Amino acid sequence: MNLKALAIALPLLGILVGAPTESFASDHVDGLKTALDNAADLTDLYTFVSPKDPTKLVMVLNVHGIASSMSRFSNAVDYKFRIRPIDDATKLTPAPDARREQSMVCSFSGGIPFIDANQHATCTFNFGATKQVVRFDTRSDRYSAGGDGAAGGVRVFAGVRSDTWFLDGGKTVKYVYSNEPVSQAAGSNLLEGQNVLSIVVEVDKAKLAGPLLAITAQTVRK
Amino acid sequence: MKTIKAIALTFAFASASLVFGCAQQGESAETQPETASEDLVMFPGSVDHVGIVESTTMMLVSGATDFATVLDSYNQDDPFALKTAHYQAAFAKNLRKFDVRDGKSEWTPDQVTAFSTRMASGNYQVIDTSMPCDYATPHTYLEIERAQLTGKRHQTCGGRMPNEDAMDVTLNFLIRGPAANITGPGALRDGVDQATAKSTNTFPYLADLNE
Repeated sequence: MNLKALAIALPLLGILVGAPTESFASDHVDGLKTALDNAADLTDLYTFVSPKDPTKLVMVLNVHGIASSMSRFSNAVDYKFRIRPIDDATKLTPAPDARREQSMVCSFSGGIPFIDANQHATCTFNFGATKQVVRFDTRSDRYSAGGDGAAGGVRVFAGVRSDTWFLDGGKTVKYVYSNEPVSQAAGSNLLEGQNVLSIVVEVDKAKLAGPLLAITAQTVRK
Repeated sequence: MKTIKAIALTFAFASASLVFGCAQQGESAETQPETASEDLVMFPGSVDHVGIVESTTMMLVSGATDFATVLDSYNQDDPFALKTAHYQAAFAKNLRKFDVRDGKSEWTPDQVTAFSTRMASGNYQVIDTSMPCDYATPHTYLEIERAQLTGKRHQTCGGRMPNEDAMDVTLNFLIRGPAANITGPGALRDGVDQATAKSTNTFPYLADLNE
């Protein structure tokens, strides 16, 4: 029995039954549908310029807040990064014209329940005028439980990583639901020791619609 | 009464699914891969979107029933075209509540309107790839939004880096206002400053899984 997974599930169970609004874990389990559908439950998004190569933009999406080493992406879900340029820096509004949107969509196939955790990833980056497809397996010797591929200036990883989110759940509840002072002393990480399924994309900035961008991540069940 | 029963049953099903999923996962971690969740439950269409940290459970909901009645609707919307009229009042109400949490009001009415409108119209991060991201000491999350709200020019890439304490940023932003920093006198913190393992500066950046 994976006790860590159960340990995180039981508080979530309590959240669902007793105090549904007290999830407070970035975007973990933020609705009934995502509570049921953990392979499509987005937990976090990160966007930054690569510290190793400033010509690259990095995007990270995490799902499945109670993942184990053998967790798989859903074969029935599209995992999307969506990017729109922002034309007016004073308003920070994404371009309303959907035709100006660029995207990266990863889908998965293979992997046999109870037999084989390895899946085949197909990630398609739609730059607008051109497309770039990257294919790879989600398990390889390069990682404990992950795989990567690269083509045409796009590099993608998919697999299990340590959960990047951290917070003290009890103190956060106090901040939100009371007016009492909250201790500033060291706290306890609610997500300590947890894993997620991650998709990490590195792409040439020159291929993107501009320097000022609006980026979101979305899961869509097919 | 029928509605209450339906919600109760849905919660029960969700709870059972979580426990079942975990138990199954626990076994699989030692002996075999888990069954993908699509084998347990199926809902067509958009399931979730993510951009701003705590956009849902802290900033949008204002009561227990919202978990069942508001969040799924919000998550299923297009994150670049949310149904603004459905959510703006809730975002504004919660923002005003947070603003007086410390006994002071730092958000101006115009700032409340601007940010609640932004949150109710889309769920996305803003990044300026021409500006610096200091990966070693990350302090960029919401910097572009805060600069816009306070009439300044942003100085960083914005976006969000894995090692940044986004909960502290969120608490200080909501409670102490868009001009507040997460350091200095009066800064709020939850006392947890990093994840189980820090992210690295090489691809794929996120730390290896916890065994």
